[in-house]
Amino acid sequence: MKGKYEEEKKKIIEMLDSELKKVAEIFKNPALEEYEQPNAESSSRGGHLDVPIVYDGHNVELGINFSFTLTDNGYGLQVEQGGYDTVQERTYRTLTLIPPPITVDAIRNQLEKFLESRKDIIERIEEKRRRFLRA
Amino acid sequence: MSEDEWSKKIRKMKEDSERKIVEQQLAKNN
Repeated sequence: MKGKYEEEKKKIIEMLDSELKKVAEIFKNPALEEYEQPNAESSSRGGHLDVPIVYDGHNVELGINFSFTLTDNGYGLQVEQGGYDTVQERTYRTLTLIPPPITVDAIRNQLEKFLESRKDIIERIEEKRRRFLRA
Repeated sequence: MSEDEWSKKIRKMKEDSERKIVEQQLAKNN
């Protein structure tokens, strides 16, 4: 069954690679060091995008991982979104599935949720900083 | 959603989320 969907998989890898690299490129920040920059990679197993948060002493290693999962109807993608705040020693993690057929909109939808979560984390850090300054 | 609309959306999300960071960096530099 794997061979039946090989061509489809190649196209999905190209699509995923293009989408992840686009977000990484846009989120690059010239004020940060090279190792703090967003990073996107893809392979026959799926793809990965890291968009860390370096802010107010926090360094949140935040990333989204797409892993191929073969079903009776073709390839789906298991999506794991997660991060680790090195200051608060807190882990964030969510798991979801994009069922086949995988579309560019489904990938973008997951990327959008990931970037929204990232924004929420920055807002929580900022709120904590404000409370600290008021105290 | 077209390619162009999607790029604009990501840029907007970056601006929204990074605004706080830029404000803080500016405050530190001043």
